[in-house]
Amino acid sequence: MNIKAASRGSKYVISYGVIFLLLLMGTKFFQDKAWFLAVFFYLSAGLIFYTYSISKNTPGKYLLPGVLLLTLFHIYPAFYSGAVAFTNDSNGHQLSKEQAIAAIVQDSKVPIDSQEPIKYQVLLENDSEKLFIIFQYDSQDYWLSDGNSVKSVMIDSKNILMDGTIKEIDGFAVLNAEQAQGQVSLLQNLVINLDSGLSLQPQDLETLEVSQPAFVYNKTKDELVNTLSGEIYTPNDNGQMVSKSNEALYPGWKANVGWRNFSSIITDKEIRRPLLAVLVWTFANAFLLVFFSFLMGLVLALIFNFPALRSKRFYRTIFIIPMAIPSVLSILVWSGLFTAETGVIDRLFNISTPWLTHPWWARLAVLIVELWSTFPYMFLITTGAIQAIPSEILEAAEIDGASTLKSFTQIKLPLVIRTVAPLLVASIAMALNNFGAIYLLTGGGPTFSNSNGNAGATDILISYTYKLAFNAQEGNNYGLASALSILNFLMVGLISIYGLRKMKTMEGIN
Amino acid sequence: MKLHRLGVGLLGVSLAFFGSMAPAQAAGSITVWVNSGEEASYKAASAAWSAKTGVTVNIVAKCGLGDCGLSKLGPAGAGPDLFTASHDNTGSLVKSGVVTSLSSVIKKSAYPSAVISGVSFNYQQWGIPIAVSNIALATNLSLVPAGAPKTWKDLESTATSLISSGKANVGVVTHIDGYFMQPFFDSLGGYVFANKNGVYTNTKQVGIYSKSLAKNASLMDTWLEKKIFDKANTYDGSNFTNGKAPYAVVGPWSIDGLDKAGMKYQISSIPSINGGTARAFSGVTAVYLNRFAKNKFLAKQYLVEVVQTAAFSKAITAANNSFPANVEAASSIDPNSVAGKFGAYGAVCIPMPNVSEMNQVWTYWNNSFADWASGKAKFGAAMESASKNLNKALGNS
Repeated sequence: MNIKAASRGSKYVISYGVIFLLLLMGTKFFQDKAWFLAVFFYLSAGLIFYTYSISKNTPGKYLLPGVLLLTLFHIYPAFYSGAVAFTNDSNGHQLSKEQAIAAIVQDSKVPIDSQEPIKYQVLLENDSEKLFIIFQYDSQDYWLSDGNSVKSVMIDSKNILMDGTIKEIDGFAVLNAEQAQGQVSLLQNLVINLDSGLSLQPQDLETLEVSQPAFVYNKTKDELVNTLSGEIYTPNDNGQMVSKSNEALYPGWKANVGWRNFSSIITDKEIRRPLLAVLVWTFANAFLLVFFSFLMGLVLALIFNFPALRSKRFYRTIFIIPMAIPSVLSILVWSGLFTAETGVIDRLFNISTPWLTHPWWARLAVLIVELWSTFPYMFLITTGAIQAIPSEILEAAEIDGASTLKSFTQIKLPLVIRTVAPLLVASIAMALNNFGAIYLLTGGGPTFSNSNGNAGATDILISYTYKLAFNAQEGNNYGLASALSILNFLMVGLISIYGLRKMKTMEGIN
Repeated sequence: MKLHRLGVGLLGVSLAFFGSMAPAQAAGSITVWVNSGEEASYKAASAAWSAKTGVTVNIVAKCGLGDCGLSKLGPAGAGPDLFTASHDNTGSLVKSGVVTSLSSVIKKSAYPSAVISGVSFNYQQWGIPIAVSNIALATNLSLVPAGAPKTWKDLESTATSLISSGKANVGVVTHIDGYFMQPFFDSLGGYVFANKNGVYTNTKQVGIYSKSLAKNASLMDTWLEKKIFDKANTYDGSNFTNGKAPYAVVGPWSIDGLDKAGMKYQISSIPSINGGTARAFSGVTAVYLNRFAKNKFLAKQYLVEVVQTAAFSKAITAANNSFPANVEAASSIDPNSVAGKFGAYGAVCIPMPNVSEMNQVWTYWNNSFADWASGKAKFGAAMESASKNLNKALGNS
């Protein structure tokens, strides 16, 4: 067996292994009723099989894995959050409509203490293998039910044991305790509604609990009736059952609300006010940060390009350190340094500054930390740009009698800016999304005392979105958060497009 | 070509195999999410029942005090059967529809009525209580040999003299937020919602800026100025353990840390400024049943036969220094032990409100405390704005 054949063999083992795994995952998602993912995994198994075993199309073999991963990890989440933006997905609106109505009815049940629990037995219909239960209720009749309907049945007395349990019944198999345990997932969700308004529900494998629900759901009219007060509740367009006097029942369900999340950003004062403040700071933070870190990087680059300076490499290496330390660590250290009064910075200068708890000081602290972690990048790119300037040009300027200042402002600076402009635009786009620094340093705080979504003075759009979705004490509002993340995407996207355009025009100048 | 055919065959076989694979039946096992760090004590306390019945009890460490993402995971079928949560979440758990009523399971006579009202919402009971926990005052005995303060004056004068002589940095180490400041807030005459012995039904009457609080609010500003409370608002526990603060507001969760620091301390109730006791919030840790549990029958059996017993309540609370919710277990606690001291103070505390409106309360109330500590607003003004914003958010006009 030569090497070529062996490598071909291992190729097949690997590709069929991958296909096998994909099919496995597809089946798993199929069972969980996650249709998109199930179809995706089956389809990608098929595509991989086709591309690598049948098709002669070589480029496809290189492209396919990337396309599949892109679909799974970028396109699918993007479309998913896009879809969520059009729902009222939030706390209290997580269930489906059926689940929510069942929950309202079930929660309104009052156990009837005077009523002894009723014994029941589990049956399987011989032909259809459908689950039934049989129980004795109201005089000595036996009743048979599958949860949807109840009917009285006659049992031959010779089939009834002394304690009232049934030995056998025509057309059904009587399950013993062990077999009934296997049906537990069906049994625990079984509800039998009697005409009298009472409701029976298995509370374990042997007994039914008798209770009186206050609400009755009318399926044909799609309304809930409170049997005690007579009040009628109908569904509204926000996924809740409401009465005529506008009293809403909980829980609600996840409903399609169209563009409401987007329009509420503009029309709802409670959302708009904190959001405006957040937006202003998002842009101010990004532009100030890029401006100052570019300035700092440029100045340092100029200094460390000075020919007479010794051990330049050593200094340059030192400056890279902030980039090399994981930002999670360095930002946590910074937040320790910034502690008021007992923190290192306050002790060093013997001051008492409410870093992190006062809006303006917190903003300054955020800028300092971000500056610290981004200037090395600016230092690197400006150093590169300066070194790339042909020395002839500078020499020519010197011969023409230009001063150092003049040769800097007229020659070096324009050439450097032209080179790094696209990178600056990219840095702004990145700073707009600089979630980590904000989240770890201030958590977006200090919070505005009147903001209902926990927005704070240092929150940028993405950290505010995160709070709305996962961290708000008000309850998680995934719908609104998704709408905001789309807004954020548009913002960053537009700036990036502008940056790319700019780059093209620069090329024209060259 | 042969390999291709092999591949097609393999595809067919795997499709048939996995297509016919039935969803796994989780018969004979239940899953319980508990507060992380407490899984060992739950495991130990469930072992005997598990051995007797043959039911596997999977104890999983999770956040365990709130919703734990259950409102999303539950309906998707990815939640546990049972989970522990602090009782103040009851209202929002019920409103999001992820828990199911335990009215027919709970043995009400086994618990004090305040505990029962903690896990009650809409006239039903939703959790089986295990432990009661509340904050209390810890006194550093090496700094204050006289022991716990009897009155507020006592506390204030001890703290100020220690601070002015440079022996202490702050008076009382505490978080400056609603939960930790509640006893001081209460002693000034403030309250969150009008209540009768901790039964909250009227969320229309907000007392965050009550008349009595408005009158006394400037006292808080003086205490912040005198460093009785720490402006930095960072809960610097090392101040207390290193003998740089005479008092700290601590919970049962702090005890291990204090013991490890090897210091001498005393747990006591918090004195009120106008005599008597300042009431902190007491919280009930309870076990809730997921509405979408895979195995409700076994879960209910576990609740009745294990969680509801005095032995279980005692075992869990012994491990985390909190006080048993079960009356029988509580009676066996030594009143001079740390848990006993917490329990004695807890008996006069008021249950933390469990209505879902609390979510908004925490937001505005905590923000106002932070504003006050950072010097952005005087105490009275901060609470006035919290009260105003809260009334607006709750639609109380």
